[in-house]
Amino acid sequence: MMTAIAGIMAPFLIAALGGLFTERAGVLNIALEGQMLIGAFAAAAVTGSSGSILGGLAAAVAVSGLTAYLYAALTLRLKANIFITGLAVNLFAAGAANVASQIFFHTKGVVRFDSFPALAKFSLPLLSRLPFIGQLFTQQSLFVYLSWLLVPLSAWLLYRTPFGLHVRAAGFNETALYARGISGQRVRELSVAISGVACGLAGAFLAFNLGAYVPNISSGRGWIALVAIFLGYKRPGGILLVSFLFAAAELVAQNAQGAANLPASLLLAFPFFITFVGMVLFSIISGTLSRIRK
Amino acid sequence: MHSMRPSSTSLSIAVSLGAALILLIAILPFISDVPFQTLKILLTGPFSSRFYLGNYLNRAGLYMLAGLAMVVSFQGGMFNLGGEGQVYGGALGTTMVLLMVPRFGAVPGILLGIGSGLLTGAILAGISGFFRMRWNTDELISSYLLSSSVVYTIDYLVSGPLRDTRLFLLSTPEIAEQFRLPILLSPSHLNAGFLLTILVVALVQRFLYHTATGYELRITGLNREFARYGGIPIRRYYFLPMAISGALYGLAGSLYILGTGHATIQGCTAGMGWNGIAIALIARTTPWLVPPAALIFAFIEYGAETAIIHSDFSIEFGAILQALVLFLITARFARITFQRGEIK
Repeated sequence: MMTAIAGIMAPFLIAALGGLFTERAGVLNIALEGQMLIGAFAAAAVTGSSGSILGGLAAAVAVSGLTAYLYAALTLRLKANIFITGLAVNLFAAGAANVASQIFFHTKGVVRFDSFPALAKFSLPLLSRLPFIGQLFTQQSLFVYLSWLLVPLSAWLLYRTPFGLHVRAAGFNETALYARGISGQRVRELSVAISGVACGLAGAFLAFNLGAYVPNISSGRGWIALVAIFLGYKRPGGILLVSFLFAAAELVAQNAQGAANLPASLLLAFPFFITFVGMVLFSIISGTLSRIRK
Repeated sequence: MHSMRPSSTSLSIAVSLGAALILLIAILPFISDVPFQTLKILLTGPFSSRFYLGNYLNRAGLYMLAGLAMVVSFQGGMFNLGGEGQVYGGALGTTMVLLMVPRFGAVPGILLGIGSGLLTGAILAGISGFFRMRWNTDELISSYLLSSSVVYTIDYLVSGPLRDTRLFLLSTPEIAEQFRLPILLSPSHLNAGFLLTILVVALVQRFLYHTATGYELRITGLNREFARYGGIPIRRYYFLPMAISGALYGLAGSLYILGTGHATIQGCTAGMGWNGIAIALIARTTPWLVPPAALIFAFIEYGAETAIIHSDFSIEFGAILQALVLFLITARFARITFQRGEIK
């Protein structure tokens, strides 16, 4: 069971850690979903056609990172409303993937490839022997280990490097940043680009897992990642915990669906609903806590 | 947390609509063997026959309601991202209630149907408004999440428990004959709902600019701190704009069922929620500008569809067109040129 959770949570976790940078820089990035979707398509298209996992990965990161950077740069420079343009990115990603899929693969539906390389799975020598959590390190793909590794890495970037300081300052006190001669806008653009790269990775993982491109492959994971950032108190450790809980909830739902013979279409609604409930509960609890502290 | 009420200049509206049209015309040579003929159909298509004209106006009418929904939401400083679910919910609410009372007379039945559509939409959006008011839950994210779960749930209901197995579509049974709104321009779908829509435009304009509640809603949307200082009960205006916005989206779903669809078919109202946002922005969040904005938006969309029908491709440009308009419409091009001028 823990083995499955690690696989389900990896895309949430990677996307949420990327989104954390934009959030800390003061941008609520609602385009995570679209960035992930377009990354997944790029990964599936390139890997499926060339057979190279590395090529697909590079394509996903490049396409998604570039989309995110253009989105941020254009929005901030033209002083557009970032929620409206974020929405535009989500709509564009779905539309563009659809159009590209028809032009290159002549289908609007699922794109299957004859020889899609499978991701290698391996266990980590010492960690996999640990009781209970050992399964998290047993027979996982490189992506899963990468998602674990990104937690300390993003914490280090945010709290221990000048760049991380700039990111936090851009969201917290832009005037101080300006006084140091650094443009907050530039930092925000970079942080959105980071979220794009992360979403590209997350999307590639989704595509590699299925060995195909399915329309709406991200199915709300970008939004769930966005909520995970809030619920994780905008900290890498918190995000790790929340992603784990969401993944566990999704696994339970999948099993319940199998047991109760519920149709798959209803399962699509579940992640959105559980995220909605989680978000509301979180605001109730944190609201109550802050009232008690007063 | 985030500044609302996207302001936009006429220039960016012109730029975004112009860009959409140019994109459309620019792709014609690639997708059509007879680009000039397609261009002609694209530009005159909606006016070429009673059938096309009626359907074009009918669609624009539904878009007007969606646009009004977002106008109220934006004016109140709230971001209702749940339009998709609210329209779909309004459509299903109307259908199901009317299926329960097949023997009702026409007038009470239609009123009941419209009432259930309004209520379904108002509840779906009101939930997000209420949570924002009570616990400060971000309504932008919560309305989207709730709406998405509603859309998938309705997709499931329509394809399973509520499906009419006699029809070949994934659809509920059709509502009784007497509930269907009279057609204004046969053989098209244009129906009496269009007249009601025009009335609603006037009502929303009157509500926002000529009533005390509308005034308070707008002031709160412009500046919450100022409104609070002026003694306006601002908490109420987290809930109210969302509920009204949802009700208008629900009405769009309801009128679609009563006038056009007669049954909830899977995905029948898809895209209407997003279009509402684009139209409200084109209308610069002003109610009386919504009808022309909806007519323009529906014209471009109709043109895109015509171009696709007359080509070898079956590409859906709808989403990309929406994205383009949304992307450019809140941009401030004037400011950029001004800044450049300063540097020189």
